[in-house]
Amino acid sequence: MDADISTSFLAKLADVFEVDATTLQSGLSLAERWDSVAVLATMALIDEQFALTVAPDELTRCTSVTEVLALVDQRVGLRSPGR
Amino acid sequence: MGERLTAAIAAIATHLPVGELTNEDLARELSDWTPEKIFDKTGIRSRRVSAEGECASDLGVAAAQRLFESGVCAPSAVDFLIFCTQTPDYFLPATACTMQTRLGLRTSCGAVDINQGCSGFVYGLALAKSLVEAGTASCVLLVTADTYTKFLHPRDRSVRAIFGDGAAATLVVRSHANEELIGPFVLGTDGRGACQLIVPVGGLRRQPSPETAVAREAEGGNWRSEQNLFMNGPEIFNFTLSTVPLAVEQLLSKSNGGPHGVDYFVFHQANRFMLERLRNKLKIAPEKFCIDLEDCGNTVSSTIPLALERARRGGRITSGHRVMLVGFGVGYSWAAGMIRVSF
Repeated sequence: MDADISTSFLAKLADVFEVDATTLQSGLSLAERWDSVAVLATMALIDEQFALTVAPDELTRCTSVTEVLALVDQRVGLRSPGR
Repeated sequence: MGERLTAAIAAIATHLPVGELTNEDLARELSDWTPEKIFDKTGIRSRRVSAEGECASDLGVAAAQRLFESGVCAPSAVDFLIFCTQTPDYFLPATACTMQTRLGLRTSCGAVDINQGCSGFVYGLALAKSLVEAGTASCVLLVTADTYTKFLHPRDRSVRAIFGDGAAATLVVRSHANEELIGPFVLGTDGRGACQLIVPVGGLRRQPSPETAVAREAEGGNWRSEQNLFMNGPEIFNFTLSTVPLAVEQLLSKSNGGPHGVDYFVFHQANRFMLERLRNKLKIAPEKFCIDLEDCGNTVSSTIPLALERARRGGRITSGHRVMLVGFGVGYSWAAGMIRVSF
């Protein structure tokens, strides 16, 4: 993932969880933080930044921000070139 | 060749129940949310709630009476009533039949109920236009009304923060215009989404029993029974983001014009979050995009006519403007249509 995109994505994701970006990246557990508002806001953010649709249960399985980024990277990688 | 029949919207009148549920009320009941947080997440400060025993038909009759009081037409001129609701008075008869009598419409008036939710107003317009332009009717009263709040469990904040009750009455008449004033339309259905926004029990497929009345804790600490409304918000959100932009694109190409030919966009007022996301994705300027649900919430089939009527009254749209309407949700069902403002 491009470093600028990653930074802006992480900052916005931190807003979703109402923490700062450093806390988010220091291994904060997301397991208990996925309420419906957080799921919706993260889906919207991923759609906005990467034009990707992720399923709600794919997100709620992610227990850390590293796993969210891995999910996005994997889905970006699956896209055919030129799309 | 006979004279071309062109359907046009002649008037819209609305009615909201008196009861109110504010963010302060919700915050008192559901202590971990503040009123401001609820507003930030939904764009809604207050919803209107029907009283016990106050049905969708009562709200619809009040809206229609307001329309008649404006003098736009007499009840006796109406020759077709379409009542769109998902909260009817009875299984049978059709609620529209009881409203025909209550409104003093003539007995030679056609009357049907249609069951659609958030797409219902645009569906109703497509049907009303077809009735008028085929010569089947000349003055169609389209009433939308819903009382979803009666389906909500008191401890299900995921839906109580969103839905409100309300009604609108829209008059569709024959005009002498030389151009299409209602339409074209893009309609769509995907029943695979039926289980994502549903009241599972209460119809004949699954009848109520003591067991189905028991509320259980569900996701996020929300409570509901199978007789209550269930909405899978994230799935509905994904459906909307994947379906609505495509429907908008199809309608633009069908109506021979790009987005610049559209003066104003009135989408189903689901919640501000969803609307902002759609607006962003479709790159529509904020001043051309309606967000108007702060004081009434999501009134299902009536959000579009409520917003249209207010936009007209507030001068955001004026006679001759081309407006795109898009309804989407429960079903899944969606409908997009163009109108030229003629009311």
